[in-house]
Amino acid sequence: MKTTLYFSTIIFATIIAFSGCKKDDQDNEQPTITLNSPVDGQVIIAGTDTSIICLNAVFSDNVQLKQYKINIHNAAGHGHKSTLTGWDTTIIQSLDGKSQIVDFDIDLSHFNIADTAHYHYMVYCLDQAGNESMVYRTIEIIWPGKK
Amino acid sequence: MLIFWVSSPALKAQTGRFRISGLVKDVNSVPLSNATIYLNGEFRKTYTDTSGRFHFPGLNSGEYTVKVTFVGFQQPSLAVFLKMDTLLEIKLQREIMQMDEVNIVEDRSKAIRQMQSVQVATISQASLLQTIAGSLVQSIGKSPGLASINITSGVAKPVIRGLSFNRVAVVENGVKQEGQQWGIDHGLEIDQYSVGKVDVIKGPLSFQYGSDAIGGVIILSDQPYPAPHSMDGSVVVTGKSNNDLIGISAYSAVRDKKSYFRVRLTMDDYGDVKVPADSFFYNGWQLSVNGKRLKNTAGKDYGIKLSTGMVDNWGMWSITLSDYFQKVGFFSGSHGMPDIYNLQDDGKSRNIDFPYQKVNHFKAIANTRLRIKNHWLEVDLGYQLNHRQEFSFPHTHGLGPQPEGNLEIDLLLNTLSGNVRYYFDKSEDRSLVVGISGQYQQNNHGGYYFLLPDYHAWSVGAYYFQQWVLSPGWHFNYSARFDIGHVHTQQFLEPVYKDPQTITGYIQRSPLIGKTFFNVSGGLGSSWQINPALSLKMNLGTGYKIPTAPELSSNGVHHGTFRHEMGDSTLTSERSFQLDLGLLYESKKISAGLSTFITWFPNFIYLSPTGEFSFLPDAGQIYRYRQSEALFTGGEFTFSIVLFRNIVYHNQSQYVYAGNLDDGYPLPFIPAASIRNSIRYELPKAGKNFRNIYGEIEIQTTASQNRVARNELKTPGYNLLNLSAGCTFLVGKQPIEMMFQVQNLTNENYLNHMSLYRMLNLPDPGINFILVVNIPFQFLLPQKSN
Repeated sequence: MKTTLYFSTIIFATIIAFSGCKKDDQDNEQPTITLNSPVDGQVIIAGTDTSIICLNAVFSDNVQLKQYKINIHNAAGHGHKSTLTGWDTTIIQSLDGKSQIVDFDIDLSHFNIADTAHYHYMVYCLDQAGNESMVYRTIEIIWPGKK
Repeated sequence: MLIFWVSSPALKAQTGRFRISGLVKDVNSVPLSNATIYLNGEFRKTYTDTSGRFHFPGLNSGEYTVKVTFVGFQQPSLAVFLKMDTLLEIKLQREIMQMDEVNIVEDRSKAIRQMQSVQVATISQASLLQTIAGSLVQSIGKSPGLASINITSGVAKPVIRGLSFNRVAVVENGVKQEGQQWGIDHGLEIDQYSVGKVDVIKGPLSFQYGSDAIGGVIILSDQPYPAPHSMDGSVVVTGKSNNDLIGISAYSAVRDKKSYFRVRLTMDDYGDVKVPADSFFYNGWQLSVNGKRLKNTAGKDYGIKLSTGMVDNWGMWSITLSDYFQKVGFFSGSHGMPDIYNLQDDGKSRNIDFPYQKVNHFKAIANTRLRIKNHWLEVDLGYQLNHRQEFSFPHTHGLGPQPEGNLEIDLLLNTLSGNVRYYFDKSEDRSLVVGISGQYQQNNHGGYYFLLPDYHAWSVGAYYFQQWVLSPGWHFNYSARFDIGHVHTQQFLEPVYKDPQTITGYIQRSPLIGKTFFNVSGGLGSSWQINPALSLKMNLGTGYKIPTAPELSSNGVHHGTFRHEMGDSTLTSERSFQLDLGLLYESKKISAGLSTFITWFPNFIYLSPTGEFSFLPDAGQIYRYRQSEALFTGGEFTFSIVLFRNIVYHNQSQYVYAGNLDDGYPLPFIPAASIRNSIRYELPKAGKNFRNIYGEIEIQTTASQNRVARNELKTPGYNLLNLSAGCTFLVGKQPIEMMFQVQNLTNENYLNHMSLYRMLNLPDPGINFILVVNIPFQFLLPQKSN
């Protein structure tokens, strides 16, 4: 009986000791993305001088920002139709500090391989601890002369 | 022969509440623990404790039959007319000539049953049907210390005390099930109707089952054999309201004196899951759930199992062939991303659209048990073919040619296993087991996305186990095992394209790896019956896990998790050291159990976010397999009290703490603390035609999980109200068992921390009415007089 009590005490003491551990430098908070541009449903006509997709976003985190990523891909591929077009693009850039405003333009003025389609414009953000957040917009890219 | 007497105890039957208690011994008066005691057929059963005692509390007066089964002994059945509390002393005669009567199937967990110190939770087929859920893992997930990671309604993987994936071994007919357990969207490929009994062992049992048994073992046994010269079987029909499931499972077995043949066919077909929500909030968007049904979560499962064999006084042999097939949809948007386009209502609830997965698991298992004097030689051989495929439309492929077809990931795993064990029954109080086991695996990949290279792996181990009875009620055991394992992965080179036709070079996605691992493991255990009511179990053990090929070499996007998973070829064998302790108190009215454990891993392998994005299409950040010092601790508490006549209150609480000791963060996929409170009413007989009536109300309280890993979401707590009721109805002599459940009666809208769809903020299923009807049958066959 003594052994029982002895071991039970040890195990419970350990459980309590660890449960009571202070969350020292843990960061479980995701960074936030305020995406001002592009807006949902935005239509971009490719192949002209003004064919630019502008990113305007504010990234912020409670501790430290690390990276952001832009990915644009055809929105139709996920589900029902396999309308693959040759165009998708990924951009990864570093971030620093607790808050950063980013402007990044993607120029489609010489863009000539895509079909007219809906695209997902996805913006991801990571903080130093690996917490991730993502927002996306659905935009339409029209390529004159293509369906 | 059987010797028993019914004693008239001093207790008066003034309360009107009776119990049948008993003591099971062999002819030398040595108590037999873990014997199975059936009351009135298969419906209600219990097991003897370490001192050979059993109890059936809360009985009305009336006629009962008590049947005792224990491997190697005759199976007496006796009738009791209960007018007052009754104590039976049952002495079992060793079975020598009549092996037919012995249920050798039970032998498959013999080493474990003999190992008195481990904590085993046993779930019978009858209680499985009473608590049936979407899959075997979810159906047994209510047992203390267990949980499940749910992928969809019919796909789940087992979790024992916070450990899962390759840390829980599932053993059927002596052979470890080998699928793609490392994957988050893999589920256990077992037809839940085909399982006769489930034994869950919490804690490392690497000594017997090798690498994957570091967290625990789930041992699945077949149905009992039919009686000689008889035919038996059953038809089970299941209906569920939540996903409109219709299921049927038909089983039949026939046996002459010694040889038998058994067959089971199962079919389940289900539609999309209903949730108590019209919309969910994901990444800043309020997305609608059309008709409150999660689009494309329908599926179907088929199972077939054939077995034949012979049982005789020299032992038995059997061959079992089984195939399990499942096709199940992934929620639209769980690959890629949910948005208003792919969540548009397609007007159908039973169709399986893209993305979906197909799994086929084929097994051929041969088992032999040979009696050699008092000893037993056991041989298990198995071949398994696991074929897992994910289908999805390709939509991003860089500059290369457009992938052909919709097969995204295709994994084909061949496994050959062999186990040989020898049981020395030295004397009544000393037993010894030696064994060797080996396994060879080959995995090939296909599909247009690369995740995992081709690999082969083999392992061989030898072990030794010994147990003594030091004094009556005090057992001591120790075990030791030595292993050697090898993993060999192929290099995978991916072409780099300038345009869809021109390859400009290659990048290495996975390197060539050839690694050999040596491991020594073992344990010490003891069980002690302190007094007739109180017993203690204690184990100190070490387990290990060889890094799996995915942990060493994967490099690709795991769809459904949005992450790029990357292996690390420098990983070493994971090791664990565990102390567990179980205290059990059982008196006439009260039974209480407390189990605690503490497990330290010097180098726990887990997927950790790196804080760096992947360039691969569809991926978020890179998750890399890492090793860290980790600690798991916690426990389970159970408490039952007989409140009134036939009414029992039951409480079950559990908690797991898991932390990475290197960086202080918690570990991912750890179940939240939970408490189940239930009140159950049981009546063995009512009127002429009703038997085994029960009704239960349960409140399941799950705490919030705020201890989360990096990039894991916190999950709020919730309460669920569940009901169940059932009875056996006699039509003439034909029993018809009916089992009814209502899960989530209040249609609570909640998130499950252990669900794969938690990361999409999708709620768990709403109210679910489940009806199971089981029609058993049995005929005696004419026998020849020779």
